[in-house]
Parts: sequence; C-alpha cells; structure tokens
Amino acid sequence: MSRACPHCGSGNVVEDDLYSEKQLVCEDCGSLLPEVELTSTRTEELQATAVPYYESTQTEKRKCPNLIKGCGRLRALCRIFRFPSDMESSAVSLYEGAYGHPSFLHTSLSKKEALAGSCVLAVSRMNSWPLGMGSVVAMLEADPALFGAIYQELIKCMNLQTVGGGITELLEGFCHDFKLGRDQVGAEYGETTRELKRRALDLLELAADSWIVTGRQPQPMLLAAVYLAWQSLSPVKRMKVPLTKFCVISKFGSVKEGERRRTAQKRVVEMREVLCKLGQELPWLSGSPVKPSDVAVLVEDILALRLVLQSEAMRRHEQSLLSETSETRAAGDALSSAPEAALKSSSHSQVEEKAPPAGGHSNDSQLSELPWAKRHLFVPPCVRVAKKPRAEAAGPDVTGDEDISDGEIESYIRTDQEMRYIVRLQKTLQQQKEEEEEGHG
Amino acid sequence: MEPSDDVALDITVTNVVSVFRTRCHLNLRTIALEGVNVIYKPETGKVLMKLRKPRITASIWSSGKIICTGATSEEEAKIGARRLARCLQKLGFKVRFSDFRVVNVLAVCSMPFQIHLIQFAKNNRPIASYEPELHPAVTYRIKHLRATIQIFSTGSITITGPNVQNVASAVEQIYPLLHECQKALK
Repeated sequence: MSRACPHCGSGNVVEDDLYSEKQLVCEDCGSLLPEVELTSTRTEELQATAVPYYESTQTEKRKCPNLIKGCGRLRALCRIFRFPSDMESSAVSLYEGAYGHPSFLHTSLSKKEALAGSCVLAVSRMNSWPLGMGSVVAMLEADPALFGAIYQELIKCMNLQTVGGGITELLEGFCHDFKLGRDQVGAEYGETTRELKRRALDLLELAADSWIVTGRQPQPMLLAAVYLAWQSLSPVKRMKVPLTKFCVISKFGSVKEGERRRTAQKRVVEMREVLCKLGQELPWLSGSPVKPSDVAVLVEDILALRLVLQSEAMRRHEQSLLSETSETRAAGDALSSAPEAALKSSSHSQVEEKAPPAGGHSNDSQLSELPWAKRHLFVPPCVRVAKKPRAEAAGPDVTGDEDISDGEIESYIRTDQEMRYIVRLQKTLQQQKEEEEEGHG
Repeated sequence: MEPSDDVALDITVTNVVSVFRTRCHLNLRTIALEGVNVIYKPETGKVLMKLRKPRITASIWSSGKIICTGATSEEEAKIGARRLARCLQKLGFKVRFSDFRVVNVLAVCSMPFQIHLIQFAKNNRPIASYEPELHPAVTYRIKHLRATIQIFSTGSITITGPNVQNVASAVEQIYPLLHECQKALK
C-alpha cells in the first residue's frame, strides 16, 4: 500500500526489514510512519487461518450413499432383464444425471427407487428393447401410479425421446413365460414357442385392426392372444379347456394375477366375437352364424383369409344397415302419405323406377344419417350408441353480476330453533360416545 | 369429411373451478353450526358448503380463501361465489368479495370418428404422450394455451384449460391433427 510521508510529503516509503517487526520508513527524511491499522483484514492474514477440507485433503466430491445404492439396484435390474453392457452403462449415467436434478434430489427413497426403474425403462425404449412397464413395476414391487408419474417426470426433465413399445414387440418375451414343452405337459397340450408366437401375432394384428388393443393394458391382451393361439393350434383336444386351466397347465402367473386373468377373459370374449363375425363370411359356412365356443376350429382359416373376410363382413354390414334404413323410411312414408296413396300411386312408381341410378348417392346419404358407431362393423368395445339427447331445460341466463335477494340466502342459514336442536343432538351423541368408551374401558 | 369443411363440434363445459377471498378470518365451527348443506372437516381444517342454485360446492378455509367447483360456466361460477359470500355475510362475518378468478375449466367434446392413438402419438411426438399401461388416452399439452387434452380411441376428448376461450382454441387446434389419424377398417 503506497503511503505518503506525513512529514515531508514524499511518496518514497519503504518497508524496513532490519528488525523482526516490519516498519514503514520514509527514505527522504528518515521518519518512521505510524501504523494506521492495528489489525489486518482476514484476506491479509496468511498464517493461522483454518484450511477447509476440500482445499487440502479431498481430491473429488464423494457420491451420496443413496446414489451408490440406487446404482447398485439399477445394475441388478439390468442384469435381470439381460441388458447388453452398453445399455447398462447408459442407464447408469442417465440415473446419475437424473439423481442430481432438483425434481429428484430431495425426494423420498421410494421415488428414487422408482427413478432407477424409470431409467431402465427409458433406456430399453431408446434402444427398442422389448420391456413392458408392468415388468419393471412388478420387479420393483412399486406403486404403478407413482412409477408412472416418476417416469413421465424423467422424460420431461431429461428431454428424452423414447418410442413407446408396441404390443407385438412384447410378445416373444411373453411367450417364453409359458411352460408348454411337450416333455413338460405332454403331446396333447404341448406346443413350440415358435408356432405359438406366430399364431398369437396374427391374432394380435386382427385384434389391433378391430379396436380391441388401442388404449388397453397390453398384458391381458397378450395372455388372451396366446391362449386363443394355443387353442386354435389343436382345437379338437383343447376347445373345452378354459383360460384358468390353461394358466395352470402352462404354470403361468400366480394367485395375485387374478384381476389380470379376469381382464384377459374379457379380451378373450371380445376376440371371439370378432372371430365369429369374420367366420360367418367363410364360403363353406354360407353365412350361418358361428358360436364363440366353436370358433377355435375356424381360427386358422379365418386368419389365412383375414383381409377378404373383413371386406366381406363390412360389405354385408353396410347392406344390412341400408335395408334397415330403407325399411324404416318406407314405413314412415307409407304412414304419412296413406290418405293420398290412391291418387299418387302412379308418381310413386315413377320414383321407384328412378331410384336405382341414384342408388349410390342415396346409400351414402342414408348411411351418413346414422351415428358413426353404427355405421362401422368394428368399433372400440366401450362405444355405446348415443342415446337420444334429453330435452334439457335451458339453464339460467346468468351474467355473474345479478342482484342476489335476501330470500335466496335465507334458505342456506339455519333458524335459531334448528341450531338449538343441532347443539342438543351433538351433546347427546358426545355423551353416548363417552359412555360407550367407558363401558369398553 | 375434410378438416377444411365447417364442422360443428359440441363442446360441453362440465366443470369450472374458481377461487376468491373474503379478506377476513372465518370461524368454521360457526359456519358448520349455522349453515345448511355444510360438511365440517376438522382433520383438513376446512368446511364444504353446497349451494343448490347454481349447483356448486365450496371449500372454505378459516383464512378466508374459498374454492368453488361444479359450475358449468364462468358466469355461473361468479354468481355462485357471490351468493356464497352473501351467505357468509348473513352469518355475521365481515366479508368483502375480492380476488375472484377462474382457475380451471374442464370441457368434453366428441369427434365423429375413432382415433388411432398409436399413430397420433407417433405423429405428434414429443408433445403427445401415450402410455397404455398407465392411462388409456393420449395426453397432448398445448403450452401457449396452458391447455391439456386427453384423447380417447372412441373419439371423445377432454380439455382442461385456464378459461373457456383457451379451451375452445385448443379444440380448434387439435381437430385437424385428430382428423388425419382417424382410421376406418378397409
């Protein structure tokens, strides 16, 4: 710090190191400059300062123990699902990156465990590895809703581009869960995984076209497809075997799978309905109805001729709708024009003659009048034909700023007598409760 | 049907959530005793009050903050909130109706066709999110409108947004995207 000498004003002030104590001396006049500060600032004190740990001993920041445990759990999951090493390492790096994100850092351990599973799932999807969310949730024994929330948060925070796994990709792994080898269950019930998978894939494609798959949980759908595929591969011997017995024979699932099996049974019923609709169009059945219990015999033929049968079924459905609408129209016209029928009979015949050339346009217009759920043969099973809308009373035309009369408000306030009754009742209930507690005690 | 044709879609507002403040402390036990159609929830520290006209349910906290749900239009929500404030005034509280605002509007709409959800999610990644194992509908978020749309395969959609105008704009924006993903079995 440069200072001027207070005696001669010279700036030529030097530190004198002759003695142990440093002093400031003016070179020109030799006077000793007084010390301005008896104490120095902390930054000037170099000796006897506390040295922090991270400056002296620590070489790198240590990982949080929960992060280390989470990484271990994640590696175990990757090994269970047989990930290749590059996918495992990318899952670990994704987990370490997400762990430090503010959304996941200060959360509960259960959420951090769900985060590890979410990273496994995200990496599997980025690499098109067939892995269902249900499998990860079952492995972690986590709450599905919590896991789903953490997974979606992970995708959002880390800006991941994942492709949702299709149901057909999950089929191969699913088929391996069934113990249906001939040496395990015998020749009558035995089936190769390859055949089972091929037939189940065709059934799944048909189900997807018929709106049974969209929006539904994949696992019950897969179970239903595999069960129907297994039945159809040897229908004579297996037609009478129900779904529950099939699960026992193939050693699939456990008691906890009860709800999933009930859902799978519903999917079986829906798929059989679709197969019956298509089975009716088989040429050698001549349009006779097919029962769901007997359709297993026809599955192979239906799947082989699927596209033709679908177009035939759609065409027959449209024709039946047209005939229904034309019948209702004719009945309506007959009722309305009955008194004038004798006079206008010649004009009616002229109209009927003109009808065929304009048939295509009138068909489209007739069909378009129907609700779309009736027009199509295959619709999502939860669609119901729209009910006729009730003539609802028009709601009050409010602006929000109308005056509110006292009379309307009085109806929401109890009278004094009602309040006395309520207080008396509450006291009585309280006394009864206390007496019961004393009696139990 | 081409998306450029004028299509009249019925958007039905099913719920409007609004909040307002009374600027005074409210004694919940008094409201529970003297009010009709009132449920007292001491464990959560609030009182539920239901009005008949309009049909709304109000959650009342002792701090004076009130949330109203169940109205079917923004105007109904306002008249219901004002009616509630008048009711609290009659009960003896020095209520000032202030800071009223509509927080959330929920509406439903039905498309006249089925929607192929997987195709829609693929075409609109990453704005659209489809996880059939979690929820049967596709979730589509429009950031600038602060609206969330849930799309079901049957063609029904539910829209939540901060007001009715945003909800209507969201439907206008989503319709052409849905139209190109409708699927008919050939």
